[in-house]
Amino acid sequence: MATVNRRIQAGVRRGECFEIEVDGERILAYEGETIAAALLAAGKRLSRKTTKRKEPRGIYCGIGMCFECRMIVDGKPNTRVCQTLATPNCKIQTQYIDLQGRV
Amino acid sequence: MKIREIELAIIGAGPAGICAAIEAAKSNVPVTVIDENLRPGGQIYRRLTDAFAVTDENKLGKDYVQGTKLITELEHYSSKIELIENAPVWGIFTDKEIAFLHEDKSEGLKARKLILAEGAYDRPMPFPGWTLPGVFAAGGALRMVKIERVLPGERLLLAGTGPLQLVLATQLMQAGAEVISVLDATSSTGVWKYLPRFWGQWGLLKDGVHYLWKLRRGKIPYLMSHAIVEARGEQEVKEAVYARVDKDGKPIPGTEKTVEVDAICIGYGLIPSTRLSRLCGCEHKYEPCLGAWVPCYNENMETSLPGVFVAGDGAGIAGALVAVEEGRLAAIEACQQLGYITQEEAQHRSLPIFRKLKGLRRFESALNEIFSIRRGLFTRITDDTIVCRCEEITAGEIRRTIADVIANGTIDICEIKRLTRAGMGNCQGRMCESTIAEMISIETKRPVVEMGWLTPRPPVKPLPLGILAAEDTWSLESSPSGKRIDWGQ
Repeated sequence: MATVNRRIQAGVRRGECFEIEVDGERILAYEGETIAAALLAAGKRLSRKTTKRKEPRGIYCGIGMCFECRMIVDGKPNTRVCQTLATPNCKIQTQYIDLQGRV
Repeated sequence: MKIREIELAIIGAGPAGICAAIEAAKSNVPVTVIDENLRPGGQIYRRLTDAFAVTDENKLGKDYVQGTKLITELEHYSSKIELIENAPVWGIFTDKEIAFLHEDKSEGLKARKLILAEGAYDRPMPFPGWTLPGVFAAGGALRMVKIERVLPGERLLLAGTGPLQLVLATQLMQAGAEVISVLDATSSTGVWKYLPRFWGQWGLLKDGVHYLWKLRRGKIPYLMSHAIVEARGEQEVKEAVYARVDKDGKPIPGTEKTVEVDAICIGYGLIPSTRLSRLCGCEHKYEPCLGAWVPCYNENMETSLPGVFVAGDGAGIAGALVAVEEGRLAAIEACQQLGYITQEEAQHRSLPIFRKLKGLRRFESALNEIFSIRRGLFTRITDDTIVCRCEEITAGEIRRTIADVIANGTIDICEIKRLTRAGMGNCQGRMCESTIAEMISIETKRPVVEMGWLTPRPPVKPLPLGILAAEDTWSLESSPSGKRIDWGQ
């Protein structure tokens, strides 16, 4: 499991803690956290690779406007992780769709 | 798609939308609020999840406490206010017909009166490397620190203009992150000229001084006349290059400094979200000091379309305190038009709001002028910088296309969209429109206002095709009015 934990501990008591899966790796998430927050807390920045240039992209605007944080969540592509809550054992994949449309 | 007829629809549940809803409920008008987020509050009054218990809410800032108060009031009227959360509006059609996504279905409402409280977002300002993971918009970074209680990085550089940066720096610092510097591209010369317009707004001035004092106490350098010029890294950001800029915002060669960072937060002010007001067909005007189009409205916040109102930052950047009052004004007028309150009562309730707004708006417009975007900042955009993040269109491609088009006649932003695909992606031009307009203006030496805007068309937020395909019929036959949707815009 990832050892990076960028959660602010002081002054906050979190709820239930559970695991989620990111590209096969288990990381921690807390009830009420967005997937974006759980990823950043684990030091994970990559959300997708772009279609044409295969460049890495991550969470940018953080408020659902830019669509850069699109990932595959429980098999559903183009899910904005900044707008989606983490749920126990949800499966998240870096989104990569090549020119043939293969995911 | 089933279309329900309602009295009053409010789109957006930030400060303006919340206050409009409360005001309508007080007038006994049944009101429906549609919001894209999981919970009401918008960006500035975004709530912590119920699963978190924070020992001292005051530490989250004055805005949070104010937001708590408003949302409690909203909940108090819950029997009169229908709140539809997690529901992006993807289209508005003829005569206030609203289509939105909700629980993997498309739903429709037809409202007699409509208040748009769309809000705003961080102005995208491209520079080399700005698409790297680890480069965040300031508003998004603030959400992570303040609401999700997660640090976007451990060693951060903040770059942009204006007061939001100070708020973010303070929150990061209090949370134990290392903030290397806060860069502001604005030159401090001549700021004194604006003092008269700040007169009387002591509370707001005190907030500013408070934040500056906190930075100083935390020994975080606040560098005026400085801007980021490049973010470097392979898979994510590792280094930031910044430089001193002249009073036009242009980086001065030879003044570059490189620092090691793991996150950069970019905050060049906000631009109003106007996709829906444009889609409705409201008249707009270009506001040069905002660098954005804003809907035109009268003193009661009604747009050029009768019965369609705007309020809050979506009507021009003026902050939460103004948004709250504008939301109230719009709702009072809408309720009066619907016949729920008399003209006298509407006037009686609006009058004190007009007075409050006057001083607040003077303050905010002075801020917008001081921190307006200087042209020279666009010289940072090298030819290989991505401008349209979705379609991966570089500045070079856009500049070449501009040159081709100029050679063949007149030019506007839609022409560049058609030829390059810039603005056709998932964000529907939200991240590139303002930059492309500036770029054409710079290349052609014509005013930005002449470049027009990217015409929004439904869906203004992407939606799975399957959701549309699942609909048997796209007419309004299921509605009592039986009118067909007019797709032509």
